[in-house]
Amino acid sequence: MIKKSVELANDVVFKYIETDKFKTNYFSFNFISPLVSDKTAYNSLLPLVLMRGCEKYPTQADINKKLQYLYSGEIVARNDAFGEYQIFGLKANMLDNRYSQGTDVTMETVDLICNMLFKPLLENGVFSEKYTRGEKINLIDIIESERNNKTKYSMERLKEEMCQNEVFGISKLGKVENVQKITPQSLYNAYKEILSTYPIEIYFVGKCDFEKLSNMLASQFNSIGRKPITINKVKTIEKATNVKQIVDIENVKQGKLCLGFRTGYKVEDNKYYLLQLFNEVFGGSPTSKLFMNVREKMSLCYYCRSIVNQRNGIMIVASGIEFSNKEIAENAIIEQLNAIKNGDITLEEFESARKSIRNGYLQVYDSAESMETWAFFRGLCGSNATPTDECDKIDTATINDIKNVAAKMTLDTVYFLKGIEKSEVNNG
Amino acid sequence: MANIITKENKMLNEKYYTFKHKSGLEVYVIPKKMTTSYAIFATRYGAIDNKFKLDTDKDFTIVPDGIAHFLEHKLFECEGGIDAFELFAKTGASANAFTSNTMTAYIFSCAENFYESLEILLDFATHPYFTEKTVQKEQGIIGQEIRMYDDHPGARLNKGLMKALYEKNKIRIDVAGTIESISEINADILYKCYNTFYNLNNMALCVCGDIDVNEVEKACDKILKEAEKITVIRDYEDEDEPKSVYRKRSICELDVAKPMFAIGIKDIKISRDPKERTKKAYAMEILNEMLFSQSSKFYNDLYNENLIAQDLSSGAEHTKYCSFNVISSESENPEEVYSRFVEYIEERKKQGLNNEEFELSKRTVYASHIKSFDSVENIGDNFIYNLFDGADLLDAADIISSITLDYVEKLLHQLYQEECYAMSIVNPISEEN
Repeated sequence: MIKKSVELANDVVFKYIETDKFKTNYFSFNFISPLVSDKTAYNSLLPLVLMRGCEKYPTQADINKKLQYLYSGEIVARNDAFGEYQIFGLKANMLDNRYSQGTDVTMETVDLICNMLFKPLLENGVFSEKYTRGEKINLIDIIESERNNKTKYSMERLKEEMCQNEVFGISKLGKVENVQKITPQSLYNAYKEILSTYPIEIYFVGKCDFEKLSNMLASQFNSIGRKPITINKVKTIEKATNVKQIVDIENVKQGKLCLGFRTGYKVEDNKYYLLQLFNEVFGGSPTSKLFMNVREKMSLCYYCRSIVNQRNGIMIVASGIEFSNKEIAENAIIEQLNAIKNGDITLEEFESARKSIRNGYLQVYDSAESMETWAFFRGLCGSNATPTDECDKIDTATINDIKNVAAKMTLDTVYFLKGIEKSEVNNG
Repeated sequence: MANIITKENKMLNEKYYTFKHKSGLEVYVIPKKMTTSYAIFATRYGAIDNKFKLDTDKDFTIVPDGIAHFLEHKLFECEGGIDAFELFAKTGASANAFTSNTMTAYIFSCAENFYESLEILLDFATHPYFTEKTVQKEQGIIGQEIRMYDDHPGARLNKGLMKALYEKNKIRIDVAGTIESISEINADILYKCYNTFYNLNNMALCVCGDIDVNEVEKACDKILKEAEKITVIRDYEDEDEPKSVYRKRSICELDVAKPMFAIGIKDIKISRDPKERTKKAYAMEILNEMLFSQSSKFYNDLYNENLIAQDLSSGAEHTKYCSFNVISSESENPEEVYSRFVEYIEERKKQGLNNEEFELSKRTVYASHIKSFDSVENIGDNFIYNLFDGADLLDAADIISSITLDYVEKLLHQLYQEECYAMSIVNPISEEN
């Protein structure tokens, strides 16, 4: 997938995925941090402050005007938790030069990002007090708004409870009390440390002059003494020992049931595709056992699906149900898992899952951002297999493989978000 | 062989082929060298079509709210208890469907076995099968879908806004209906709606990807039977929708961290000419970019005072059915934002718009349009959306180019009048609850 790759400075790598099928190009500049709770708040806040202004474009209005000039350029903050890593920085989606009537959108957009990253707006040698304060409030709002989307929130709560003693339970956004403690000086110190010590990966997907971009990017590191840190890999828990039951009570109309399982599979073991196949049969598609039984046959819910994570070996089953149906739904989900354990998989179910996963892999090639995510995240797991390679692997799998995946599954935590009973809920 | 017409936009480097299939269906094929191909099979039938008759009928039929969406769910069930999803599973395609106020669409995307999947799509959507038992089962599922949206702040915000802006326009109707309204649905009413609106003359197919137009026609030949020509009369009862908003505020409480608001600007000036509608729709977007983008004074003042969240969104909808604009974000004090909004607009009307700002905003809207051609799903959906409004997606780029500062300036004055503003708010749940 990656056509060219060059080390611009110590542990700063620039990777190029070349394609001319899009009208846009994609660029990302990523710092890779260990996911640890005393860093997350800084890592989340930094891109937000950098996006407020730099020496050359001191206000958000100046930056936005430049982006409008660059044909609806979009620069957004990236903040992903991926296993033991927190990946953060800036990413951009830009119109290809073919459509910009002479403006070099590519070079100018990357130049704008470099200005934001390397020449931030400083006051008395540290970040602007106003911008730091404003973005702290903004970040705290984002953290507090997480509860607004109950489907996502309930899954985050499950993960937090399930992974209390693992890094995977740490929220990438940081904790409100940690954000509050940040000052323009402490953020600036963190920034300096981030620039000189965090591994950096830069991606370009589309069509560009690779040499020219590499030179421009490399020159940014001329005055930065790089002393990169090594991020230790962590072990995942392969098996749950007992089942934790967690109940939250909030003012909601629909109950959210989430079950967290330990799978014992992750990308690194090169067998992750088997977990994906299993997931497709179990609850990852509208012909899966969960959809066909818990939704269609039992009419218990609108959604009941399972989601697997390539890095932490966790599978979550999530569903929205009537409060009173919790036990019924939980039992129904377990029953479907047991069915697979007992080998109740038809050849049709297996073939469907295989085709559907192939389809999903091949669709990666149709979006610049998904190509980057594929290459980047799988690369972090030490894999350079392309979606086409994975398709080949899928074709060698058997029904027995899926049965074996199910056999390894253990239930770790059951989380239930339920409403306040017998209270009048204001309907507005 | 049908007569195939080609249309091309050289600047965009995009084209489509179209033909009217002998069954009555309009077909559009947009070639695109992508791995994924996409198909959307849609009918001009949505939540607003709840009162209708054939020209040969004496009386109008009135149906329960949410029926178009209910029908969309039920169509997936085929005779013999098979689910259409199971059929798609055999090809590996990823299928889905959606219902809006004005359309119902059945879609799939796939990297392999496209024509086989296309046949499944055309087949299941033209073969309804409902029984009282399967209808009852669906009431439970959709009931939970409605509950899910009841807890969804964005959905509640939008619903509240439509109910504040409009008095009569059927855009007020919730697409999914209510638990009560869907309980009135039975197999007979479903068949009646199906036979009225799923007539191939009322539908269109758009496919986008690395696709051969002749193969598409073959699939149509194989599956589709000629549809009877019928004339449907729809009563939207909205002819005397007033210019002013129905209610100034719509407020509800939900478990959210911070109040969310959406200011709506109602507009009843809608042209009968689709090209003029396209022009106005994009001019509304340009104006939004000028007035509310991150370069605007409004955004910067309010953000710097922490009166709004970082994300201030604006979006216009302008079709033959309705026209409005929405500005939304989160704020501790939505009423303060509202008065600042009113003040700001009056100030801008007095000052007039400036040309540099206009050119940059127009460039942004133009570029966003070009960017939308990078995904087969976006192209297909946008194409049908335009088609059902009488417009052509490939005309949009030229129409955007033709918009002038003068046109946008006039639009500012026409659109922004205080009697046309309303605000929907979702507040956190107050203590006494």
